[in-house]
Amino acid sequence: MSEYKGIKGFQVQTRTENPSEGIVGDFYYNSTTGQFKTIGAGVGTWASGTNTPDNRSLYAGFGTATASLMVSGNSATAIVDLNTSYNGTAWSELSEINLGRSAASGFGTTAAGVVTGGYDGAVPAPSAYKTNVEEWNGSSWTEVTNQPEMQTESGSAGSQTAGLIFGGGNNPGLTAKTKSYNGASWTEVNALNAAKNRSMGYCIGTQTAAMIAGGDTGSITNQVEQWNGSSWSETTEINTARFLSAGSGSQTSSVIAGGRQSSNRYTNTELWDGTSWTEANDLATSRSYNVGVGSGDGSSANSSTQLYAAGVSGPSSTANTAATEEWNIPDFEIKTVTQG
Amino acid sequence: MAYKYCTATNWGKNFFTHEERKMFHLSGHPGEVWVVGDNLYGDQWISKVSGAIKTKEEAQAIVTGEIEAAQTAYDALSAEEKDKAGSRPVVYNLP
Repeated sequence: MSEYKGIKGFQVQTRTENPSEGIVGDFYYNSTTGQFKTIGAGVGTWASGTNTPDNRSLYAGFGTATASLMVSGNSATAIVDLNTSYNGTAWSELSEINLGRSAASGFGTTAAGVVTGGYDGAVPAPSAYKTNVEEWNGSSWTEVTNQPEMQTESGSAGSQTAGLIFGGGNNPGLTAKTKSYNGASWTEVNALNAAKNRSMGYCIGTQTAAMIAGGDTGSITNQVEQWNGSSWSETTEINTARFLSAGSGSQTSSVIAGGRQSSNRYTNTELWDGTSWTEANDLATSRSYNVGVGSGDGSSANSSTQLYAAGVSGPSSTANTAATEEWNIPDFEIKTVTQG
Repeated sequence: MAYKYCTATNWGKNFFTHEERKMFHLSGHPGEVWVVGDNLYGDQWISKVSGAIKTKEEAQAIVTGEIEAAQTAYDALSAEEKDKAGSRPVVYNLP
């Protein structure tokens, strides 16, 4: 029998236990188990997370997978003003927002957040669309400067003192407008290339590096646009056109999952590496009308846990769920080498 | 791929784990119906969650019933509400 050293020119390292940190491509012999092992790239999957206290969709969400807020939104029968916090383990109710609303946008952290826009009527008549903005300081909500105009169901990114909203609906139409927020006032900046709404599940990026994928441009789109702080440019499209999906991460590393197209509700997950989208393992249950949150700085969705809570699951637009799923890609995976 | 079918209530954290998702197919459907890959790991998961085994036909009947109820609810919406809710739910077949 040939020896590995004779074939490869070096000996196989022997270890008594599997390493806690590994380099993809490493190969070794575990003398304790008597098995050869390889270290491969981590494979991302969804696991069930802690159920939310109530079934809710169309909420504003922001923060990280271990420190996030789920604010207001729709229960199965009504708009609620609840403000529910997640600490990575459990959900808890905090001070309620002043104006309960549906389909609002949110950005910031659990210590300093913003909720803006939305509508407060069960049927979104023009009068139900709101421009109200509220800031969260970690313990209470304060009404601050309204949005200059109606812009709801918009994408959002950034922090309480450097926020951004983009696209959305301005009943009865769509808007491509982008507005920045500095903690005191709103400024209109360059618009998206295409008007689109129903993208409020996105909290991807910062005021100077944001991203929007999919949405409703009058038809369901797979368009993706990136913001560089001054203008939007189109980039590689997602594989599955969808709207009302959730996304998290950054311009260079993000996740998009779920959403819907016509009557189809998706479990599809796609990963963005800054250049292209790759199909990944699906959600266990389809969901839409929810928000994804991940690393607070939006730095890397591919190496940190992402949280996709509640939303609508199943075939009905009112079938709200409390189920939550958490995405994670481990840095590496150890595999046992078996004889072929 | 062969599947098993069961109903089980998702209790939240650790109802299904990252590791389990790598070992067998798992998809959730209306009516707390779960389609589970037919292998040892899938069997272990059904046992863990105290899943009530169903035949494919039984599982499909539960899902179809849930969707038909959603269709009835959708049909009762006003035109504006339907516009906001999107398309009427459609019955689909389990794998």
